[in-house]
Amino acid sequence: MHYSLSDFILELVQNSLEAGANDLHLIIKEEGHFFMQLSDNGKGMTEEEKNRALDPFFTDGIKHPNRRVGLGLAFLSQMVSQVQGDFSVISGKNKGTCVSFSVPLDNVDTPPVGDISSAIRQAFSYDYDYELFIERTCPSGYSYTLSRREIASVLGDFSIVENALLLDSFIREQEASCNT
Amino acid sequence: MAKMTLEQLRKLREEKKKQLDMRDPDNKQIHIVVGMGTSGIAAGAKDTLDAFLRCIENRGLTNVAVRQVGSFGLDYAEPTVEVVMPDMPRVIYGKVTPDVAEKIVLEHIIGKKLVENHVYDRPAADIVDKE
Repeated sequence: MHYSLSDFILELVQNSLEAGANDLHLIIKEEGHFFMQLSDNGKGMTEEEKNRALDPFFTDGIKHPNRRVGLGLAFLSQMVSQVQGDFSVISGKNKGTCVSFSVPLDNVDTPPVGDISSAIRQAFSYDYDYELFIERTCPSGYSYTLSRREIASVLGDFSIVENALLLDSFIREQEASCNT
Repeated sequence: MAKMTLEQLRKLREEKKKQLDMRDPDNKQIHIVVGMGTSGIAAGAKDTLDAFLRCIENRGLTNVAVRQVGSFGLDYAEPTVEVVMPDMPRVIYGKVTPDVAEKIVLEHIIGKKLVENHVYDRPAADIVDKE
């Protein structure tokens, strides 16, 4: 199981990238509930594939041939149902996928939010060419947006440690404004 | 506090680049590849990755790239990390907690010695057949 809610940011972004998406739109909101929505332009799923995606032993068979594993969405739906949240997957074959969930922050079983800045930095740092646009609304109501392409045009390759650290401090500054 | 703008980020980047260019230019590239699949994330790969960044910064190492990939297939030994660098065999380390990440930077990358008890793949053959 994942320790924090921010872990699911990475989980969903990685799913999208592996589904061939290069245009991702992520919304993260904290207002009594923790709400997250990721829509992508990946290869999407048929109704049947969508149902099977929630099966922890399902994967498309490409990454792990002959193995039946695929815990990502299964972990998420399990966590959401444990804390009586909402979870939805909207998808169409070749039309992309939109996964969203909302969980109450006051339920004792809700995982901690975790380090959002670090999760965003890592969501930006996968070895693919893609745009990830993030709309973040903080508990205070303050909000900001980030565009991976825009930041990459300033910094260059995020795998270079110096760039990763600059990216980290940039995101942390945006996130720090949440508490002021 | 006024938050950082993209313009300020650009300036910082240029300053950093100048400093970097002044350092040893033929420093060879070191790659640290962290497995960030579902099992990696569940086992704490996020903290491992952050520990590498911090430690590399603290030691003032340049020309290190830290990359994120999916699972290496060694899910029982997560978090897993592959280290590729000149003069050392390619190694996949397993059970790399933030403490072990620090050890890898100190012993493997700086000291050029394998870190005991954490080598999970690509062992002997590569040691014999040095790249």
